Amino acid sequence: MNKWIRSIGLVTLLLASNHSFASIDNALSIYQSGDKSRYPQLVNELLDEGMYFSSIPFIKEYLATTNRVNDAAVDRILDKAITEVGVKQFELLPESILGKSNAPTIRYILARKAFRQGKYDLALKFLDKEIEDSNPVKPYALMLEGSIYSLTKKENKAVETFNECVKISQSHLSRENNKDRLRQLKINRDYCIVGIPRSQFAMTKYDAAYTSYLDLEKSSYIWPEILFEEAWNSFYLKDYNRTLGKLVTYKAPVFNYILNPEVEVLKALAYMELCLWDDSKKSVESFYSRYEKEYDVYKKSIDSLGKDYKQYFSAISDFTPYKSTRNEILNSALMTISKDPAYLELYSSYNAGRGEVDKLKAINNEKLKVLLGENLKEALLTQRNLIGSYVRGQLQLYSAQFIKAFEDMSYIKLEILDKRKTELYEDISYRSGGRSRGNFAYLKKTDRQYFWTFNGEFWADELGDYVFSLKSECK
Amino acid sequence: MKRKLAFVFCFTLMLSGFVVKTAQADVEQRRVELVKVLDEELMEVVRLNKQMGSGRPDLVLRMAQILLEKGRLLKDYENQKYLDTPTAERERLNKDEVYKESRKYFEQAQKTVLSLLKNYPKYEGKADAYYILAFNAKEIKQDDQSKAYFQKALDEAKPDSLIADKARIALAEIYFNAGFFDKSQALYEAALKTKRDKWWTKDAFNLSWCYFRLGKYDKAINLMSESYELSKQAKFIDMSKSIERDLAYFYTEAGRSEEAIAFYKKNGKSISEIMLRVGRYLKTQGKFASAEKTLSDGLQFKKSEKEEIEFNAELLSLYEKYGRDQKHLEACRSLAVQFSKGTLNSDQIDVLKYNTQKMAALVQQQLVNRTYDHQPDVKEKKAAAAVEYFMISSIIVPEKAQEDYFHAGETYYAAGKFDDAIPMYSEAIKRSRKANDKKTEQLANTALMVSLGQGVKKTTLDTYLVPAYESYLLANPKGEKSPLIYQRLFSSHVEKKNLVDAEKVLISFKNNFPNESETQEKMLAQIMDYYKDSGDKNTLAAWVKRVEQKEFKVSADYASKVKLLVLGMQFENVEVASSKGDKNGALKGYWEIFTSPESDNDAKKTAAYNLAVLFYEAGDYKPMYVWADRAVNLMNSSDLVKFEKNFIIFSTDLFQRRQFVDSASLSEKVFDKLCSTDSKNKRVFFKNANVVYLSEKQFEKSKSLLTKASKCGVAQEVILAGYLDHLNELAVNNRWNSFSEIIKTLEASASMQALIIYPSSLLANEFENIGRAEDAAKVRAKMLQYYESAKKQKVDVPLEALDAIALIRLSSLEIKLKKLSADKFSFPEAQFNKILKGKFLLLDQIVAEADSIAAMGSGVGIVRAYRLLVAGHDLLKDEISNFTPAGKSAEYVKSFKKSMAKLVEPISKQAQSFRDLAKNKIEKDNILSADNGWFMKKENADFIPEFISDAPAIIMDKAGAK
Repeated sequence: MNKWIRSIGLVTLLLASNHSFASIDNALSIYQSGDKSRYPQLVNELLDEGMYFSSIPFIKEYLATTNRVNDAAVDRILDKAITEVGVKQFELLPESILGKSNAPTIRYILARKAFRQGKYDLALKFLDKEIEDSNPVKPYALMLEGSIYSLTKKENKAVETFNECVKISQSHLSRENNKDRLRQLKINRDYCIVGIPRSQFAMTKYDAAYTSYLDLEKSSYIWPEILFEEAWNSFYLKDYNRTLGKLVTYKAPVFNYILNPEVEVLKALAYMELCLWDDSKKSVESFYSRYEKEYDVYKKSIDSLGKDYKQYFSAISDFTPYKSTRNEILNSALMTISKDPAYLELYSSYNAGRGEVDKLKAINNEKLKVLLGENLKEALLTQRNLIGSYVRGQLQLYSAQFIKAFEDMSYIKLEILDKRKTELYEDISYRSGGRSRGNFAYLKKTDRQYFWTFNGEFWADELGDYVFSLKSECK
Repeated sequence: MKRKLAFVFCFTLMLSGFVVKTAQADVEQRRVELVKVLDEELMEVVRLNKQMGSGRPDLVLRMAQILLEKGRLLKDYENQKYLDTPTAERERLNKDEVYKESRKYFEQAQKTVLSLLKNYPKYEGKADAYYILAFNAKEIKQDDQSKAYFQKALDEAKPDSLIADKARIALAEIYFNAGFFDKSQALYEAALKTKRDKWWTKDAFNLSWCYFRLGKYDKAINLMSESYELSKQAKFIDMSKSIERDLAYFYTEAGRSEEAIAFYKKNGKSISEIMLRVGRYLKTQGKFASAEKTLSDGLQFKKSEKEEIEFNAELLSLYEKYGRDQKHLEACRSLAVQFSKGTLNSDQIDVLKYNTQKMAALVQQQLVNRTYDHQPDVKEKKAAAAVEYFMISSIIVPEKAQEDYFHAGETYYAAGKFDDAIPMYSEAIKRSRKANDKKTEQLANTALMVSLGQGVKKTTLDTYLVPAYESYLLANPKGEKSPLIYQRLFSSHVEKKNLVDAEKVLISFKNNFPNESETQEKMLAQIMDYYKDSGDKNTLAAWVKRVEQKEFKVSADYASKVKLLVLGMQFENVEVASSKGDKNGALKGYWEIFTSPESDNDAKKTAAYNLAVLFYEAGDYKPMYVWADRAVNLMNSSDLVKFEKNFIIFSTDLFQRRQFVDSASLSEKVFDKLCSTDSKNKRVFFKNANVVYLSEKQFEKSKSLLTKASKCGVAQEVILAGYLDHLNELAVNNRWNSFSEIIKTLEASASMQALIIYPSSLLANEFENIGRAEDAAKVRAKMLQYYESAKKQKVDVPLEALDAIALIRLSSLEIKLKKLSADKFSFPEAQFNKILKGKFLLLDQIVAEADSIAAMGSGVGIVRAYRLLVAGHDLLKDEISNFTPAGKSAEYVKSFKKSMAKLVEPISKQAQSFRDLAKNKIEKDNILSADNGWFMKKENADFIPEFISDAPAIIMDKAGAK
């Protein structure tokens, strides 16, 4: 049944640094001096003035042109910049440039690059050097490290790392006042919290994982997507009624923005495991009838966009729930992306960058104004492409998920038909005794589980705790 | 992985023959459901394939699997349908048509796989594809192709893969079935290296058989034992039942029977049960000797009646095969006991039934064929055995027990044991009746009758004879041999003076053989003799009455005898009186018989007749007539034929005593009764009656008598004579109204025409008298015809008839005579000559005519004809002589007169000659005629004397004076 194991994706978040103050004038003066080694200071001046995007080209130029990078200074400015513009702007830099610095933040960026390329050992190597607990990038580095251990089947180390990540994140949270940083830290902490059950899950410690998942607060930003993982875990615990209960939560209006075809697959699977063949087949047919044609249109739509990031950017930026496209999948996908923390981070940064334009206008020195204007333009274009790229990636991901879901659904149906055939061949009446639904005798509970039977209404405090009580009809 | 598992599962199903297993009661419903599922599955795979961009060979393979599976299902259905078709119709079916649908799917599957192999030459699942092709080929009976594909599948598969092992197993089975045990062995061994699935035990079982066939008994036993042990585990197919059955056989063949027993003991199995199974198996393998030994030995270990039954049921056919007759009988006997307890199942009952009936028939046949005639002891034993088999059969199939009893009887009969056969037949009859089996009842009855005639003991006869007869007759009331049996049974009853039953037999016989009068007569005779001898007249009379009422079919003779018997009884005393001259006593006796209501018609008529005789003898004609008349009324024609002469005497006596009416009446009555007989005296009665009626002027009665005379066969000449009498009497009595009618009746006969001429002349005269001249002329014309006809026929014409004809012709002559004088002579001379010539010519005619009339022979005619001739000649002579030509000279006149004188002289002479001739005739022929006087008168007499009376002459009364 390995094919049914969901590959749990990890999302890393960017680090943010503390804010510092400088003046435009100082910045101009450093620029005019032509001394690029002083660019960190220049950037710092600009950051102090809230000119984050405008400063990015200077940081890149500094890293590219300087042989002896001031790691501490870089660390400081990157910490500040990344909080506002995100880490992706810097991931675009080649390793050769980034590698000039040994600053924790740069190492983190390098580790992320390696992680993305699947070079987990290299990634670990970048993270291998000590990063102080107080370093702002520490919580994020730990999350990345835990994820690498998890993916490389070093689940025990992963759990250990995630636990540390939670602790460090919490520690940073207690010291932090910046709103954006607080949000980023919370998200990072929560991912580390679920990193633990994910690792336990990978170690087939489903009971432990189940309890660990309960550590994630329902108020967490990532809880909706993690609920699905919990459903899987319940499935592996053969607690199909709970699986179905968790999945039904996605029917709550508050979650209607979530597009996850695998939810339907898991539901069909749970019915199948309960030998409720008709329900399972109904889920399959319902899925096909709902999405088969829609998917064709969706696929054509996204294929027609090619790799034109601008169009993807436009698609997402123009999207509002009230101005939805005609295609249900595309609509849901864009809706989901629009609620995605990663996207929100990118888009938030982009918006902030646009806010720098007003600040540019206030600069009296024309030369500096032009220079910073070009910088800003370049950074915003990059940011726009990053957003477009992200959206494209997500849309492609949904496409793949749908393909996978169709395949899974078909196999579920074929599996059911096979079972039916077996019964017919073996002369077993699989409907003997009739069918009764909903029976508490089939519920399994632990101390930390709440029991709510879904009665058709969604209540915020019950979300995720619904439990079905269907009697298995397996012989 | 998932897909692979599905594939394996699918073929596991196929291999395991699940399709066959499910073909049970609701197989049809499930098959339909399965086809639906397969259709759904195919649609899903097609959908998925499309969704995946149609580039997945594994999905194409899956499609082929589904098509193959559907083909197999449809083939099952088609097979079932084909087998359900009646044989005659099935032979006409086109098999290609029958299996059309399944073949379509097999071909589609084949096409799909071949296309897959072509389009994806590097597809890693090629072994699976070939495996499907192999199964597909197997389904469409391409065995060689199938084998080749299995080999390909094996070649393409990774050596240690599941599909490789599956292909090996399939090939191993093919080689095993083809008898290539060595090849099969190698493949099985390779496939069974690892115990990878639950089928290992089954395949190991097959491999054990390979070893066994190759004589490797130790290996066979070892592997079978291992398979047996593994069969205890849930994860393997349980082959223990088959192994328990076959292992015993292996051990037996390997000469390790002790180990076999040890093995089964160790596994807690019943030795007898195993030996039973082995025995059965050996039977199926055609190893009958081993089977018999195993089962016979196993019987010793039996643990229950149930097992004993099973052993015996299996052994029966083997005992029969090897001629173990005694054992066979004992086994049947034992099974029959169990049958009576109701412990046999239907198959066992069938086996017992078959064996019992077969053996019974076989032994019986041997006895019938006299196989053991020279071995009396054996013969007796065989007969006893056959009878016992039949008795067992009668218990097993009670509804046909009558047949078994019959055959048992036949067996005894064939063995010459008739006294033993008879009770069997008797029982067969009883049971046949109960079962309404007419055929067996008939056979048994016949056989019983025959057996009773085989010199059996008296006690047997006493016990079975009468019931046998009764039974036979019950079954064959109208059979060919039944009359004889009725007689025997009747005689048997009479012998025992059991008249009640004897009479019942008679009645039964009469009902079934109503036309067998002779036998009925005999039986009746015996019954009546019995009552006669015993003096029981009442009963006897009652029987006589029944005979007379024709309750029984008896011959006329017999009926007559019976009547005689009764009459004898009735007239016995009267006749005694009569014979002693006691006329009064006799009269009284006959009177009493006649008037007695007990007397029947015969008695009455006899009494009446005898009374008539007695009165005749006493000369008392009036009562004589009365009793004679009554007797005639009571008698039938045959009676009258016997007594007709006496009745002639009676009527004659009455006539003589002038009792004409009674005489005629009696004669006619007798005549009427004799009408249809060939009595010679019929004419006497007829004539007597007719004459008396005519004399009594009872013309209507006469006519009535004449009319019926012909129907009664009275000779035509007698009847015509009667008519003639009737006619004459009519004429005499001036009864003319029916005269013509009678003449018409008579003129039809040529012989009568001469006789009716005279009566006709009377009629003509009567017509003439009453002014009906035309009618008179017609009658006369007829008379002439009668005459001419009579002449032609050379029939004698009565004299009065000749006279009558002559008178008619004479009247014509008289006319010519008048004509002769009608033309008067006149001159001139030529005219005179002409008239003269005419007159001479007419005179010649008169002469010729007169000659002709005279020649007829009528006296009246002769005399009158001559008279007219004479008158004619005299007339012409006078006329010529007296004519004087007027206006002529005297000389002329003289000369003329002289010439005329010469001319008339010969005429005168001729007239005289005729006159003389007439006289001569009158005298010579004694003719009495009214014209005689004309010739005989004296020459100068002035008149001719004639006698005329005042009243008509008295005719003598034929009846004499009244």
